[in-house]
Amino acid sequence: MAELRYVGKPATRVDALEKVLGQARYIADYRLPGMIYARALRST
Amino acid sequence: MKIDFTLNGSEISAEAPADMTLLAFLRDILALTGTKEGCAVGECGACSVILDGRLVNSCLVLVGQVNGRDVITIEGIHGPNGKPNDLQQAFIDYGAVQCGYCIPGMILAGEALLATKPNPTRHEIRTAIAGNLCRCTGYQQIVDAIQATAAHRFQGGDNGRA
Repeated sequence: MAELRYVGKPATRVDALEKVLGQARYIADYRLPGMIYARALRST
Repeated sequence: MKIDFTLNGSEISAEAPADMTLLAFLRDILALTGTKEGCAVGECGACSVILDGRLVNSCLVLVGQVNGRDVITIEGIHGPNGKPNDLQQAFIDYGAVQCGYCIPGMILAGEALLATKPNPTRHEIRTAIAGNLCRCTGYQQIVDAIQATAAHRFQGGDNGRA
């Protein structure tokens, strides 16, 4: 059987670097021009 | 009110409402979004920063309280040329990073621990990150990464700081 290239071998997460540096951008980190905000107003 | 403090080694001078949290000031005024908002009530540690050498939840600190003090955020932690330092590299190497939302706080918790306790036990590491929740639940790898970094630094290894 041919040697497996990926199975059983460790892999580095592709976005780990930007995450450890605090540079990864999550949804709450975006500020767009003209961005509006909304929130749910629930009945009581 | 006028706020003056040291942030990641630089002097900051800004106007901010007295009732604004340090977290909101960092994220919304300075646009430093590496510090995360999780619960906003001091439960989760995503917003951890180092204030005068001590790990604090920046959601529970008012910006007026940091006047004249020293703050370090994740943006202040890196190696030369913006590369990761040894602790950040260990987080990558040990698979400690999953969704990554807790990671800035975890890195700062690790740095705050190692600054005062260079050779911590595994139990001491677990205690040091007790206020930082990882909802991917990858705690073992996070503890492994901090422990390996402690061993590396304790043996005189360069911490990769600029």
